[in-house]
Amino acid sequence: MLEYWMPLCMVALLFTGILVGYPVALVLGGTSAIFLLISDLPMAFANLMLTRVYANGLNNWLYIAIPMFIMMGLLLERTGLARDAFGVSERLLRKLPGHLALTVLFIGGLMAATTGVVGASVVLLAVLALPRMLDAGYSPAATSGLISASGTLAILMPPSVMLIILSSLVSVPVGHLFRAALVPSALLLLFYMFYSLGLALWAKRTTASASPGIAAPATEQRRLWRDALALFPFLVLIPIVLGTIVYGVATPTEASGVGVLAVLVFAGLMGKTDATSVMEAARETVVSTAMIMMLVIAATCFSLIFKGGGGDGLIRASLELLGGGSWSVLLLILLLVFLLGFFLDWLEISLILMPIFVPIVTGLDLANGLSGASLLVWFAILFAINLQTSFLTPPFGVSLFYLKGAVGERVATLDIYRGVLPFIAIQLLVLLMILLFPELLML
Amino acid sequence: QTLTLQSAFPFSLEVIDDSIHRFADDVATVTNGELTFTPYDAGAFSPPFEILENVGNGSLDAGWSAASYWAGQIPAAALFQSIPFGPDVPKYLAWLYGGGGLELWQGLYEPYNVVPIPCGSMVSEAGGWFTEEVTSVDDLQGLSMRISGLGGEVMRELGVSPVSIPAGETFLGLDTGRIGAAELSFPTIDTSAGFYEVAKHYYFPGWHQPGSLNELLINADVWAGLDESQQLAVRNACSDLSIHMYAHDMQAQSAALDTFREAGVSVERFPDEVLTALKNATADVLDNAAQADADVAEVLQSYRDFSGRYDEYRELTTF
Amino acid sequence: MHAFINQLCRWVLNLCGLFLLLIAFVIGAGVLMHLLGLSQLVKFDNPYWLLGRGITFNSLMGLQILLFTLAMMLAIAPVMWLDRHVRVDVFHVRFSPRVRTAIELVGHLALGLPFFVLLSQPAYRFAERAYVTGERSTDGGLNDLYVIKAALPVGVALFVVVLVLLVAIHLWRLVVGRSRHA
Ligand code: NA
Ligand code: NA
Repeated sequence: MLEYWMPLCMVALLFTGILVGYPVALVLGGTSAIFLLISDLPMAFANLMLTRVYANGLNNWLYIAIPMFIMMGLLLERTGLARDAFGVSERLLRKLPGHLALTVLFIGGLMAATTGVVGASVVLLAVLALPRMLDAGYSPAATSGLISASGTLAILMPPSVMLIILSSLVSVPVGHLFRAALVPSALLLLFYMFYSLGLALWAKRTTASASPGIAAPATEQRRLWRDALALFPFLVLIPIVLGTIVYGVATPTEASGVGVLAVLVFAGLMGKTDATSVMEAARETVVSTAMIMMLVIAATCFSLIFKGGGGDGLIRASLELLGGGSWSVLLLILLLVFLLGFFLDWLEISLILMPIFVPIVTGLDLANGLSGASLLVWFAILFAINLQTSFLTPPFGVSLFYLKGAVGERVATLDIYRGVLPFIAIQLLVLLMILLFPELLML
Repeated sequence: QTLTLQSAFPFSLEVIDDSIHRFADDVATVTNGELTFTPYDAGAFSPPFEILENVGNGSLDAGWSAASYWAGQIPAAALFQSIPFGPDVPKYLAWLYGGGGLELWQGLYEPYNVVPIPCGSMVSEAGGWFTEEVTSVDDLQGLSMRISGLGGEVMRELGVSPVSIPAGETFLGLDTGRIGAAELSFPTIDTSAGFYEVAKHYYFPGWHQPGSLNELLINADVWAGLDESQQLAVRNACSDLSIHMYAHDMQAQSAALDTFREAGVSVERFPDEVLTALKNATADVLDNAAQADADVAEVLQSYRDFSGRYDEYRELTTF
Repeated sequence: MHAFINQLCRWVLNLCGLFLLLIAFVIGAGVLMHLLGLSQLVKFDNPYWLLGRGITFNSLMGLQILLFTLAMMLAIAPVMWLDRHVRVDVFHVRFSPRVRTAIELVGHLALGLPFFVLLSQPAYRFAERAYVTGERSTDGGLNDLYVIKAALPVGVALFVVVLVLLVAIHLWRLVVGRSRHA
């Protein structure tokens, strides 16, 4: 293991820096800088780092959807459109147990079927639903867990940026991955729902207060009209975003921009736009997106130096050291991905590890009737479900950062950590189901 | 001596993985292991479109890529990957090695501290996947098509809107109808993208890329540091790869085409009217490019001169 | 001084916000082009700076990347100054202010500054090369790609400035803190 001193030390420094609370992106970037300086890697690697910052981070059209979907959510929030709509749906659905949680899951599912990036969903749900759920008496932990998990569905449920990237890494048609991901994402949604219902029934949280955002109208007639009007933008926004994709008007990235324009139009029509709130939403979008991009930029540099210092060799050697039969190699790979998910994000894990794993997995004989392309699709989906947990596992859980970025000090970090635990358990359950019953994937 | 060699294309494509390893193995064998290349996958270190820069500055010893990747900085480089309505692979190699093309190519990269060596070939591409039948030039009006480079410029002349959406969004785009057409490569590579599931018209010929070449990029200092026999080993392994890929790929497409037909795809040729329009537009686009850039003009002139000599004898001997 | 920089940061972030808002409109223009079946939005007889000979769908994509890159590279330094970058605060919140200041100081000196200083020269070269070679897109999109790439050295330099300022401030706090204890 001595030859792997460098990747080992890098991991150690990464842990230390992150845990003492120095900004994660600067820990990632700084670790790569220090180890470039002290290792025998050529100093020209600094150029590699910079070109990666540009090509892997900034010059990536898919990432433009991130600020657009964040801005959509923030505009809905700042113009008051979302507040009204949520207040109304809260009142309309109040007879159902756990109706707010169900609404979050419903919207989370729709967002997941509309978007391919997690940040947007989590931030949108956090901005729309978190204050209302806290008002309604949900605990900060349960609320943030539910929102993070529902928002994270977007990365597994097609269309999904993660599946697109995995498909090219594993070399299977992306359409196959999209189809295979349908059942696992539906299962997750279903289990989240059971959990939320159970939670609601257990705590008898059916006595949510009426929305303070809506003034009591004079007559029943006018009230109905106002309710419909308040719900209108929110109800048509998702069909607009989804519809432009389904009917071939827009790619997912374009749909995100169309979504922003649609919110501006609705807010304008309903007399809710003013320059101040729009600029506030735009400025907050900048902050949230810059946080994310800073991580992307630093992570791609870390990934480079980690690989340059023999990080992939370390992983392969460790697998060989610990591994035995085909199944134990597979389980070890999944365990490693799960553990790395605590500290790295899906893109880095995929890009670093997938090329190492694909030849290993292709050679496995698991005696479960899978081989060739279907084996790889199955593995890619296992990998994807596993990576989905990485969004929720602290300390480096991307969804948790998005949530924290969107809600600020309203929820304590420890509450967020506590809240996502049940959802991580559910994801591991679904992972186990797919592991044991590959036929669920409709390969 | 061990040199890093990063590919601009993903190893997940079988033809890429096989080819780059064949080259590395050949060099190692010929030099008795004195000179070895360690192949790395696309993006392992350098982003694919930054390989020229990163080989030049010494971050990488060598790269394997396509010259058109550098057309933004060196417009004439595009002509060393493929020329619309230009040469197929044998003619391309003939021009480079027998018509002075290679010297021009190497001259273009000199300021970047990089030596290019033709290294591997790609047989003619397909003309692209279309969701609707193309019966006339009018059918191309307003069509959004994923196609890049000079081919895209030519298509624009015919009313097509070339769109550079990311590769990963192409499948979804064809499926929903956001784009009506996309071109990727030749059939065995196109199989992996799965477009045959969502676009049922597969058009030929690939007029925009009748034949294409890959390039080995070596840092000029590293290259100068190799002794003569090592340089020869590298050059020969590259030439061998060009022959090998042509020999292997030309006949491998048939099976892939069968797969597509079984999936309900109709394999067709563009109507003559469309091909003629494309050919005329190509002449305009190339002439404009030559006017805008002296290097393009020089390279194009070299190719056209060579082409005249080559074609006369080829036509005489064609039966 | 502090208040002035805060105000400056808000001003920069507002500008970046405008860039992001603009992206939505540029996307809208692209979708419109697609709906109307246009292969070019505008065609010029003479090439203009940045846009070249016309506005195509690919120029609109390039504009989105330009606005996004500008917004992000200009924003990361103000976001650092306002302390909005992601940190794991599990233990952080339990440290004394003095320990936290020390962590920041050591972090900036040992991690933050090396990273950005290391990137600074390549970033400058990157933009310079695009300028010298007159780099343009290869798909009929934007000309003058150096405009996009110049955002990198600018953003990196701003970040270094912010880190140096923060180092000075933290050092001052530590020194003042000690003299008070003494
Ligand atoms: Na999704
Ligand atoms: Na995690």
